[in-house]
Amino acid sequence: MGIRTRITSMARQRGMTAAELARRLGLYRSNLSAMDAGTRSVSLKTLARIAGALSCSPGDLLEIGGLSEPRVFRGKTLNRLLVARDQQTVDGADRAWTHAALLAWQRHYRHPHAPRHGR
Amino acid sequence: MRRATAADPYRQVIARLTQRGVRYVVIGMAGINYYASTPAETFATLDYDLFLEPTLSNVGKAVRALQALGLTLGTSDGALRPEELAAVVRDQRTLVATTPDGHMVELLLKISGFPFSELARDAATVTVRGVPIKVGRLTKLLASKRLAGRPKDRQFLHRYAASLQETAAAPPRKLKRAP
Repeated sequence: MGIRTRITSMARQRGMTAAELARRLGLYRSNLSAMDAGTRSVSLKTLARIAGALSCSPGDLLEIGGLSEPRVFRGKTLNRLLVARDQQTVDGADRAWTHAALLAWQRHYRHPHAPRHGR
Repeated sequence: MRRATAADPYRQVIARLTQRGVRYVVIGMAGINYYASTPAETFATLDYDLFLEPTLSNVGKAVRALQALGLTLGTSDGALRPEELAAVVRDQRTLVATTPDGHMVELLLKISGFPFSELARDAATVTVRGVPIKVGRLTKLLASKRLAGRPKDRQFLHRYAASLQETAAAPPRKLKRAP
């Protein structure tokens, strides 16, 4: 089991986005997400730098009792795919099309002859 | 009174809740759909589930905001009476808000496996035409379905697993070159 962090949520509590924090520290935003998910290891040195930027202790950034792989599915592969899909949605992503798809589904079920999209 | 008759009632509902400072997270199938990468990966659902922080002040704010938008609030026993709101919050019962066009927004005060704080802590924020929307993490939304264990949840998880496998097996999509 990897070690999970709560860097993104701590940054938000400090009124900062993960992208801003990453820029400030010269790191990739995707690496911060991977550290949060436990899929990328984080060195004590990096953790201390991040903690310094967030004015907290390194211990505050560690997720206690979290699971690096959610036990949603039985197979490890499926759980890994799930984590990957979870991480691909970045903060601020525009999802207007999701509402369009949802409303299209609802029109379809209320009016079965309406054009059908999606699954 | 302004009625929620816009083309996208859910965006209007979220915009109003945000404006009134209501603490919520989108959950359920509606929340899971935000993680789809194409419309073909979305799943049909006839309602839009919101997990509200289960405090009387927060739920009261949500109810007043939705009523001001022209939505009708009810519980499984019928229309919501103002005097029963405290009991609804105490018992963590689900409220249903319906737009004049018949779109349903479910307001849940508890879900399987996670307290509100745990879901809100690392919620993702997506936007829909400028309106920020708080969405529970995909892993937690699916874990909650796993923990609920209802037949329809188990059936959905099978379909979701198949969708994940299909996506993983599909060749990468070619990006269109800009003209």
